[in-house]
Amino acid sequence: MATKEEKIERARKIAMKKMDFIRHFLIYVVVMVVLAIINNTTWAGYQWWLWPALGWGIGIVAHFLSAFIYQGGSLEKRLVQRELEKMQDED
Amino acid sequence: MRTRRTWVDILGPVFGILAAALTVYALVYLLWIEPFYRGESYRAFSNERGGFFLGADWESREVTETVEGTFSKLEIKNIAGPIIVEGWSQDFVQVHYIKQARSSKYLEDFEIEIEPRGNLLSIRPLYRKIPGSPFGSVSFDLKIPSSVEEIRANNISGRIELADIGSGVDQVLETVSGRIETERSASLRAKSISGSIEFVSEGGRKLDISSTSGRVQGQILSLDPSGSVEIGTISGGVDLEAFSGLDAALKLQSVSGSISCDFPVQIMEQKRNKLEGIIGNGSVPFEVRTVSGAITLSQ
Repeated sequence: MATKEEKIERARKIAMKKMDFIRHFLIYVVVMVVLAIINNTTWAGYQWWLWPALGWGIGIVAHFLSAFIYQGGSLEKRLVQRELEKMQDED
Repeated sequence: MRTRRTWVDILGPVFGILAAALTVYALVYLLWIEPFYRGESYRAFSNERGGFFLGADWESREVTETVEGTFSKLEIKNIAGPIIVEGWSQDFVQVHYIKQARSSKYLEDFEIEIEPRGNLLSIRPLYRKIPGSPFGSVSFDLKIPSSVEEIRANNISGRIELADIGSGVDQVLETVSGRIETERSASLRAKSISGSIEFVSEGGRKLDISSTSGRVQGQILSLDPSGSVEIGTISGGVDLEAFSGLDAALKLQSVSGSISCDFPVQIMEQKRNKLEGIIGNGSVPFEVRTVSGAITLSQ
């Protein structure tokens, strides 16, 4: 059973992860807008700025999943619980 | 108890979905709408000259034009693709070029301008400045008569090669990415950002050679006594062979590299990476500098 301090610490980490994602996304958008402007003002043909958008975008999506979907702890908790149960069965 | 959602909880998933959508769009655009290859396995092949690669879908057009007239100056510019200039015994200029672009429509949308202006012949590709402007590369192969006394070649991405040129032809050769080779020049100014430079100079008044990343290799068969030599590289050695009667005020300096000189030098200053001195009467300023690479001056 997690103590109150542990719960506060975990909540703080989750909140920080979410804020980090928001910052990361905003930087991504600003950089991509700048690259898209450079691309289309100098050479309006091939949209090369989509290459960094793709590579970095994969990172952004992974960051989103880790911050909002998989918030850490649940899988580890289940694994630890299972190991504890095994140990108790052996005893 | 129902918790109140914050703006981060609302914006986070919205941003996540936007990022995923942009990523998927980029993936579709790059691999399907404007792919490097369209369904077939990507194969590159080179033309007869070698080193000039085309994708499977690229279109090319080969044109040969002749330009009558007596020209003493030749100016040629290119953006992508090699420039090859050769001397020949005929008295007209032959311009042979291969245009290449992603499609036949793109091929139509850029032209090669061959413009005689008095004693100057100017050749360059012209790209239309329109949205979605097509880009193509051109491989130039020129044959020029002996009346040409000055050649200026400017390239962005591609090598510059001059062969079978008569003596006494001043040359200005510049490329951003690609090697420069000239079999014979009088005064020579050669600059390459990324690429080696090979030259043979005969009777030139001024030799101004510089390469940022690339080796410089040259033969100096003779020099005008009122001339000067200035050669510099950042990353790459300098290997020079000069005529035995060289009469020069020598200054060879390398930041991290050795220096060797075959000529009898009246030494003014000598260190492992620096040599200053006089060869003969020291009439021609002869300066070679490199940051990373050895300097060799032999007879």
